[in-house]
Parts: sequence; structure tokens; C-alpha cells
Amino acid sequence: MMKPSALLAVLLLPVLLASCRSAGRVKSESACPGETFYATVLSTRKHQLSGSNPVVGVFRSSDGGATWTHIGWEQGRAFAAMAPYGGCGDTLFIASGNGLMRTLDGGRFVRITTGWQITEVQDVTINPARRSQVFAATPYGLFRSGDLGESWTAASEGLPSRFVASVRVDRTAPARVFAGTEAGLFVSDDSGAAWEATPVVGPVRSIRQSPSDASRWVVGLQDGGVALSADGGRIWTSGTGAVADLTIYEAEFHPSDPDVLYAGGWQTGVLRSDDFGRTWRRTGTGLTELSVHSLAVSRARPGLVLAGSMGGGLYRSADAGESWQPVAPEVFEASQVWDLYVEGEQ
Amino acid sequence: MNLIRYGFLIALCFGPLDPVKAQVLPDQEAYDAAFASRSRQLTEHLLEEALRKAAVRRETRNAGETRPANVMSTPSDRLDLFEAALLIRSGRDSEMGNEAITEEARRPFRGGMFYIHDVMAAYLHAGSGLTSETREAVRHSLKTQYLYRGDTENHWLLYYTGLYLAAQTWPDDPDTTWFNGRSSRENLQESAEYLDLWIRLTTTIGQGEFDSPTYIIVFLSPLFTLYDFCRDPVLKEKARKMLDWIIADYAVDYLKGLYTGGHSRDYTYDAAEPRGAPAVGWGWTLFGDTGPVYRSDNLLAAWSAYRLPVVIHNVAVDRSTPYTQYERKRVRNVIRYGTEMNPPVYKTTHMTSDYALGSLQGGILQPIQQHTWDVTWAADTTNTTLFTLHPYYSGYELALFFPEEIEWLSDEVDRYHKVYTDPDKWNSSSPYERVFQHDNALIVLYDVAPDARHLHIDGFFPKSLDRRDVDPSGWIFCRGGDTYIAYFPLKPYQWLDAKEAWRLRSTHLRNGAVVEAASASEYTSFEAFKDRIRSNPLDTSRFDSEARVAYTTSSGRRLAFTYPDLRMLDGEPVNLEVIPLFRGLYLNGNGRDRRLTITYGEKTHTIDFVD
Repeated sequence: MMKPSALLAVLLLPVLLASCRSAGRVKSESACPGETFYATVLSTRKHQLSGSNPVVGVFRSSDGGATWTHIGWEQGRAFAAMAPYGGCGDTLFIASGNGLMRTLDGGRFVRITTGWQITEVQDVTINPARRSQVFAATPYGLFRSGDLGESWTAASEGLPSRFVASVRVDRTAPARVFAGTEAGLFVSDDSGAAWEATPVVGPVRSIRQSPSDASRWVVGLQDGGVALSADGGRIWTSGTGAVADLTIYEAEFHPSDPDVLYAGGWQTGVLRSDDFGRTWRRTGTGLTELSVHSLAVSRARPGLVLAGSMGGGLYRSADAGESWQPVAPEVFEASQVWDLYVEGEQ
Repeated sequence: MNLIRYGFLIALCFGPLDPVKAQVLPDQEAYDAAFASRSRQLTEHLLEEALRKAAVRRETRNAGETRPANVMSTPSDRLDLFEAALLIRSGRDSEMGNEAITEEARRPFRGGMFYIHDVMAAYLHAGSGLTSETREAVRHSLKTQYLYRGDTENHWLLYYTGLYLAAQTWPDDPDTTWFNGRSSRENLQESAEYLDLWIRLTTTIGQGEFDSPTYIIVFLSPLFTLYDFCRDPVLKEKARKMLDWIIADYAVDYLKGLYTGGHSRDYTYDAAEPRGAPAVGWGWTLFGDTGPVYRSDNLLAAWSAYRLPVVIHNVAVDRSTPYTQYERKRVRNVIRYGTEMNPPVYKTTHMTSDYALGSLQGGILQPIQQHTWDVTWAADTTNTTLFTLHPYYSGYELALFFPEEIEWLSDEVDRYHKVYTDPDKWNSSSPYERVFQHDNALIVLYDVAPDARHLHIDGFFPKSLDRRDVDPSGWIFCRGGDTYIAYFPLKPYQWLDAKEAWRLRSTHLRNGAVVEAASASEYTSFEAFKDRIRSNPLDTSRFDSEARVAYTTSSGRRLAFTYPDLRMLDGEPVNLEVIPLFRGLYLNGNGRDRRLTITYGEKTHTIDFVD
């Protein structure tokens, strides 16, 4: 059997060759056939301290979220997942309680890439321009790998808060990294060697960059709504609008219209803004669990949105949020869908 | 009913506490002989029990059972992994022992860190009695099942001990044959690194899950297993020293079977019934001054080559000289809302032959299961403890220590621990609770925020008390066994019937009590004790305005306490920060030199971790 390290080079080849995006704009179609969604389930309302608990971890869908297949470990509490663009589902990083896991073969062989030092990984991101560079956000700081997870170094020097909930790399500036901490949003222009505070303060829950306009960013905040930037993260507005006092776990951009945002949070349902966060409205009927922790917006199917709830499973809308239907309740019943990820998203 | 509760029932069935009649203490040879005798008694008793379960199993084959059989949660009618190993080692029913281990290895969702430790302990202790099928099943399970590392100190010690021993057992296996995708060499190295870190932390800034009547079993168990099977002589020696360390830490707070004083974590029913706690079984096995309590995890001690230094045994059982022990521990890892990862915990325990009064300084030191103070006495009755608490819960408390969302955490923990949000629970930390103790007296103060979820404090006054006299002076005088307790509530209260106890409930937000305990032998009568307490100066005049209370103890020490943290003794401020890891009659160590000195009489045993 070929060793994973040897497999790595072979499997990475298409990833490294996949230069199918122009600066600032992601191609609307994936390099892989179809569109792959990932849902990470941390736990469920049915879990007990011991006993037979429902399957959690990472689920994959290749039919727009209608049906799902579990991959990897069945009890691998997962916070988040991310695949390199162009990996066609074979390579996936999974942020989990045991550390940062990596599979290179679609989940058949899963390796924990981190040691005892890195635990309870909250978020993972892969540098779009430096495909072997990976960041892991944890309650004990931010960590960086330059070799696709083979080795890790701390990248928290200068961050005032240990707890890092979210991390993203600017796809137009490969050394520019945003870290969402309990103290606020921080930015580094040297891949995490040094950090500067942004005006965004308070606990950050998520960071997203618009797929259609790389200058636009949205940050989900605990008790602070969202923070928005239209100039690449230099000037931010936050604490405004109807969502100002809400906890927003995640906000996502529409794939082609940078004015359109979806947001989900504690008891918020799914909110939608058509004017880049100036006004918001709650989307339509069908969401029976109002605490929404994760969102994914299809790039291939206009109007298709997925919403992962905190203990109420997964929901799907085919009409841009006008109506919602539960998805695969036999899989996601009572689940905390911590993260949703659509391949190619950053 | 799980194994923990089962142990308590066995204790009641097979013998009450049997206090040491005289302080005639053994030398090492005599202790070793007595320990060997108890080990035989434990083994024989558990073997009979295991054979009975095996017979039942042979008839039913436990088809469909899905719960894992681990040390924390094995149903009482099922063979756990240690009992299975016992059947194999004894040669009495090797077939069923092998079958039970194999079944456990093939069971899905088996509990991660508990499983990997317990199965490796059983595997190594069963040794040559294992069948090839059992060996393959265990090895296969370590490839095919995802084993969660957990999120507490004991979880990680169990996980890395089990992983270390597994990697040592199959030293050359590639990454493709392990559940975590890491090779034997990588797993061995990672485990050794973490175990060394845990030892270093514990011997410099103290344990996080310290002094737990409930959880000490999941520290002693892996340390015994590591000591007996680790092939690296350096790590093996460290495991031996850590056994000395943890058991000595237990011994100094030990009173005739009971783990007294403040605890990092305690199940609510163990707080109410200290003799039901798992530590009691280990107390009998290691110290032998109570009636037997048969716990299968104690087989790890019975089978072990480890021998407890008799000095530690004598520290545990000699209560002829009262003493006050001071200790420093650490708060569990703080991941949010604070800059210091492991703030200090300061612990005081005043120990006598009849009772112990012990406390932590208060505040949130551990989430969910903290036990901040109690007076616990030795008597052949149930529920021999008295304490108060503010039943606090919040997402904030949990988010200090757990990475999940603050809005969700209380419900999550309540599902696992059942009583977290319960207003009537008997374990809790609270940010609104502080304690000042000096020797046999303490003042506990509360200043509960109006927006707290539960706006009352509760006192646990067991129904087993011989006396509970509400005095016109305001004092409540209690007698339990040969212990007198004086309790002065600072605010009005009511008595509620709480099954095993009278619950003193007070709904005033600024609240508290003054407590003094004494041995009956110190007074000519209970009435004389009352007279003395009534005559002691007590000043509560500034409590409402300044949250200050002053009390002069029966021995003339003047305690003045202003909430939250101004403690004055005889007019001088008390600086808790000077408290070292251990300071007292028997145990002393400052942490800086990683050395714990245990002194008993003219004998000294030093545990030295200097590199």
C-alpha cells in the first residue's frame, strides 16, 4: 500500500494545477463534476455520556443537499471542514475535538495531523493561493502549517485572545489573514507572523469573503450582529441595522450578487439582506428550529441555500430562503450542524 | 445502577466504617502484608462476583447490550473489562473472560478514552490467557473505531496512557493500522510528551481535577496501569512517583474512609453521601482502616507491583494530632474571558480524629461539579457532612472552559449531567461565593447577583445528625457522632425537607454563615460547646452595608471577612498567594523544585521530580 506521504504528492498534483480562478473572482463552476456540500455535525440532542449515540462528524452531498453520505469516523465530533479547490472531494480537512484531521482519499483513510498541543479545532482554512498552507483556529490559539498539515507552528503571537473561532485568507493577497477571536477581528499581512487589531471588537464567530467581489467581507459576531467591509477589510461597519444586537454565528454571500447576504444566529432563523447589510428580513416559513449555526449557498443552483441548526437538523431552501424544508431527518435529527461548506467556498 | 453506586451498596452490606481503635501503626513490612491480604480479599470477592456474572452471561450472552463496559459506567449485572481480565488471570473462566473482552472490543461507540485505557489494562493484565481471537479483536478495534480524546484532565490521562501502552504493545505498526492515522512510533511519542507535560503541570502548579472523591479513580487507574506496563524506565519511575503524589494528596484529606473538604469535582449524590463516593473503595484498598468496599478498578492496585510507602499510609490513618493542611491547585484551562490559563486554587483542610473542616477560596474554580466547603465527620451513619452552596449555572461559566457556543452550553451540559440547571443540586461553583477559613472555623459569604438564575443559597444539614438545635441566639448547633458544629446563618431562612437532609434555604442575595466545629472531647458537654460559641464575639453589623463579618473563634483567633476577598486574621491581612503546593504537618512542597516531602514522625519520604 502506498504511504499517505507518497500519496500526498500524487493527490496534490491536480490541486496544485487547478489554477482556474482569476484574481478576485472565483469561477462559478467547480473544476469537479457537480457541486459537493459538506455538513459537519458536532453533537445531537440525543447524545448521552455513554451508550449508543447517533452518528456525527462529516457528511457529504453531491445532489444539492438532498441526500447525504457519512465520511470518516462515525463519532468524530466535527466543528468544520474545508477542501482545497479542485480536490474533487478526495482531500478534506476536518476541524475536530481530537485535532485537525485530513483525508486524501475521500474519507477512507483519515489522519489526525496534529498532536496533543492542538485540540478542539474550531475552524480550518486553506490558503487559496498557497495550497499547502493551512490554518487551524483553536481555543488555544491559531496554528499554521506550510506542508498541508504535516507539521504545525503557532501563529498567535500578538493576538490578545487565546480563543480563535474563525480564520480566513484573502484570496487576492495570499499573506493577508483574518483571525476571529473573542476580543475581535485581527488581521495579519505576513501569514500570521504579526497581527493588528481591526475596529471590529467582541467575540467573532465567523469570517467570510464574497465569492463575486473579493473586496467585500462579512463577519458574524456574538451579540453584535455582523461587521461589513467593502474595501478588503480596511474599513468596517458594525453594530448597525436590525441585527445589531443579535448573535450571528455565520453570514454568507450570494455567489454572484455581492449585495445579497444570508445570516443565521441564536434564535434568528435565516435572515437575508439584499443591500449589503443595510436592511434585513427574516426568510420564509418552514424553519422549525430558529437557532441557525451554519449556512451554505450553492454556486451551481441559483436559489439553493442550506441552513444547519443548533439541535434541529439541516434545512434546505430551493427558492433563496422563501421556504424551507428539513433535509434527511433520518441523518440529521436533533443534530447540531456546526458548519456547512460548499466546495470552492472560502 | 452504575459501578460507582454499586460500590456504596456493597459497603453498606459488607461492613460499616471501622475507625482505628488505637494509633498503632505498621512498618513497611506489616503494611505490605496487610495490603496483600486485602488484595487477596478483593480478588476473591470480585472473582466470585465475576463468576456469577459469567454464569448469567453464559445463559443470556447479553445480546443487544449497547452500553460500553468502562470503569465509570458499567451496569452492575455486566462483566467489565477488569472482571473479564480477572476471570482469565485466575483461570476460572477464561472462555467467558475472553468473550467479554472480545465483545467489548467489537462494540461500536465505546467511549473513547475510557475504552482505550480499560481495554489495554485488561489486555496487559490478562496476558498469556488471551486467545488469539481476543488479541485480534482488541487490536482491530484500535484501527476501526474512532476514540475520542475527551476534554478533561482525566480524559487525557486515560487516553494517552491507553494510547502509549497500545503503541508500546504493537511498536512497529504503520499509520494505516491505527484509528488516528498515526504510526505506533508517532503515537508513542505524542503520548509520552503529553504524559510528561501532565506530570510537570501537576508537580509545579497543581492538579486541575484535584481531590475528587468521584474522579480520583480515573487518575489512580491509569497511573497503576502505566507503572506496571511501561517499558521505558524513566516514564515508569515517573508513574510510580505520581502514584505516591496523588495518593499522598488523598491521604492528607482522608478521614476514616471519607475524602473530606473542598473538591474540584464531585457528583451531587457523592457530595450528599461521601461514603458512596468511588474514592472510598480506594481508601479501603490502600489504607485499610474501614470495612471492605469491592471495586473492580481496585484490581489494578491489587495486581500491581507498586507498593505504597508506609509513610503515606500512616499519614492517612493517624489522626491523633490535629493539623491544618494548606494546598495550591489550579483551575481547569480557561479558554475565554480571562488571560490566565490556570489561576490558582487555594485549599485549606483542618483535620482532627473526629471531623475535618475544609474549603476552597470560592468563585468559579471548576465548572459544573465544584464542592467549595464542608465539615465532614466520622460516624457509622449516612450523609455525615454539612455544607452550603449557591446553585449557580450559566453559559458564561461553561464558556470559560468549553469551546461550544455560550447560548447552547447550559442545555448541553444539563443533558449530560442531569442536574446542572437544577435549583436543588448539591454541587456547584458560584462566582458569588467566597470562603475564609482558619483552622476549625470559617466564614462563607455570598453576594448573589439579582440576574442570577437561582436566587437562593442552600445548606445541607443531614437528617442523620444526632442534634440540630436552633438556638434563640441565632446559632444552629449540630452534633454528628463525636463532632459539634456551630452554624450562624447571616440571613433568615426556612427549612425544607430534602430527602436525606434538611435543606436550609435562604433567599437573601447577600448572605452567608459563620461555622465553627469541634470534637466532643474538647468540651464537657454539648451544652458547654453551645455556651462557648454563644460567648464568642460575632459582629454582623456591617454585613448589609459593607459585606463584612467578624468572628472570634473559641481559640481566640479573630477572623474578619469582607466579600469578596479581604480576609483579616487577628487584624492582619491574609495573603492566599503565599500558599505553596503543600504546607502542613505531613505534606510540604513548594512546586518550584517539584519536590513533595512527606513526613511522619521521624520518617521522611521525598517525591522528587527534579530533572
